[in-house]
Amino acid sequence: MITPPDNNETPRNMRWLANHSLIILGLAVFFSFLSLGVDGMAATRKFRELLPEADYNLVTDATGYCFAVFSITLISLLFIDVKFRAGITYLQYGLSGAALSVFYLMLLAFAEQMPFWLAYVIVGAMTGGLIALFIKGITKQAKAARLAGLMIAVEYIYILVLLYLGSLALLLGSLALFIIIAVAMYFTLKMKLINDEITFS
Amino acid sequence: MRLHSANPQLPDDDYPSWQPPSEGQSTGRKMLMIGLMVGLLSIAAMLVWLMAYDRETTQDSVSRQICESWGPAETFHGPFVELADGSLQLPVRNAVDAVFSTHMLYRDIYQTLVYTGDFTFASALPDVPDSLLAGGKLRLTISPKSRVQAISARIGTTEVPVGLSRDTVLISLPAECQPGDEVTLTMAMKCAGRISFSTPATDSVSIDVHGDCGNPSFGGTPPDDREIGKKEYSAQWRFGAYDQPFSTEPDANEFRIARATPSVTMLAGIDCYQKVTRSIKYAFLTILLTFMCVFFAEITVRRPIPVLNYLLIGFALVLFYCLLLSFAEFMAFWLSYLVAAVMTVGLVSVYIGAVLKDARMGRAVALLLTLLYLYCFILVNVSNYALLMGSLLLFFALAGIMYGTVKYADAAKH
Repeated sequence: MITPPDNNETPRNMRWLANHSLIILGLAVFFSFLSLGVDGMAATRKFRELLPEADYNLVTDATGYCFAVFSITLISLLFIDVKFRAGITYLQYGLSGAALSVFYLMLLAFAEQMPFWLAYVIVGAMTGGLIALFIKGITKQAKAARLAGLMIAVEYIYILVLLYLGSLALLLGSLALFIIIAVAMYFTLKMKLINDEITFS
Repeated sequence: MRLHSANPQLPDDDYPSWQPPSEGQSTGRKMLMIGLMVGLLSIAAMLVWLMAYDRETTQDSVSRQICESWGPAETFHGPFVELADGSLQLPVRNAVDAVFSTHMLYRDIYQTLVYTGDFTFASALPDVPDSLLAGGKLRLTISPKSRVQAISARIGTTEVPVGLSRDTVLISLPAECQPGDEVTLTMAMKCAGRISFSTPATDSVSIDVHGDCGNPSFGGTPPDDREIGKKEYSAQWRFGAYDQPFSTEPDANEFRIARATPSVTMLAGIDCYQKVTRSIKYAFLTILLTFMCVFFAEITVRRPIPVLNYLLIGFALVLFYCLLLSFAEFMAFWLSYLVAAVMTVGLVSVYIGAVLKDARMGRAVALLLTLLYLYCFILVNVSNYALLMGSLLLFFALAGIMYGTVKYADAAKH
């Protein structure tokens, strides 16, 4: 029988944090490129009349936010790891990033068959549910899963609103990102190092 | 030179004191990670560039759509004299006078300039036998689907009938016209985009253009004379018999439109995306220099900063360009640059001051960032000296880093 690793033994020191930050950034960049590929695919399908033009514009705008979505979600995974002492491995970060990336592919696929907002809600619920269940499995605490699910739900709903706002979307999106970075900075200030890291003490 | 620690009571909080490279995280390794992070963040900045490029393309296509519903871009080819035997001849003189009144059309956040033009073409008939002239026509080709609102023609003071087909204006020459008579054609049209005048003649051509917009753009042969004011402009082209940029020899009874045909385009305003794209070119340098400054600050204060904090600072620096792009779409570029820079510099310097628990370092980083952004703003606006100023910046940055490493060596020794 395989014994699960004792998560409390991983020392969450500065080096651990550094490695994880770098991996998160790398994953965010890598999956952004994959999402750009989905964008190109959407263009081809619009050209082939499989996707109506209005839906294509919405899909393209949605993939424009991919880097922000990946970074925010993966950093919140990091915070959940620290807070619940979960021990999320690099592979699991990668899989979460892949799930977020597949969101865009499924969005394109569903948007061809149904109205855009319906496709977005269905695929968003699927992706959010998947990641929440994944976190539940890793941390074995429902609270962590609820936090992750809530985070993703808020993100996706905000982006849906931005998509339908049209021209003001970029402005509101940038300002929201600014506030999010300020909040994240505030949380990192709260991180204290006592042998290893414990947040929000 | 002794290095004074900014906070004399160091172990009083939860940050570990400065550890020599043998334990904890080695400095070289940390520098490597920071370097890697700078590279990845520059790629993220390129994503912002991609977004700017996308929006520029959208703006172009929306502009074209707006223009299409108003009127097309025009190319005037002619007027030519078509003799009774079917051959085409050039008039002796051509004088074109165009007056544009511009309107701005809006859709969403996009705007395009469209015009209503009043055109007057005065041509002098060539010296050919009367029998060929009578029964001939004067022919002017305009773009198809043109929106002609009013058209009239006269020879001297007598009105002459004008026929307008899909893309040709035809004036039938009456029987009593003589060589040297001046035929005046007046038209009012809705148009947009580039207006080109291909009006060859045997002896002389003069083109006068007036408009009520502040930034016209002249294509083909540049005008001989121009006056551009804030809200109006005028330009003149004068050609003699031998220096016309048109093809004056018929080719199978057709005159080709030369590439150097003079044209005028009136632009809606400053294109913001170009400047934003140029600013993004300095992203790598900005992020690199800021991280170097923060790294040396952390060494000076002897308080190691987790790499996650570097990541967040890097995100804030990349977000500067996103903010710049979003503000520049509806504000003047300098204003959006100022607002975005103030927001970013404020956030980053306050954060660094809080992390290092030393407001002095926060102010130092604020100063550095302000200087960097100011420098990049000047570079974006004054592109003549861009290479010179850019290499000077690199030189001084290198000198600063060398100085920093010397200080680090001192700090590590003590």
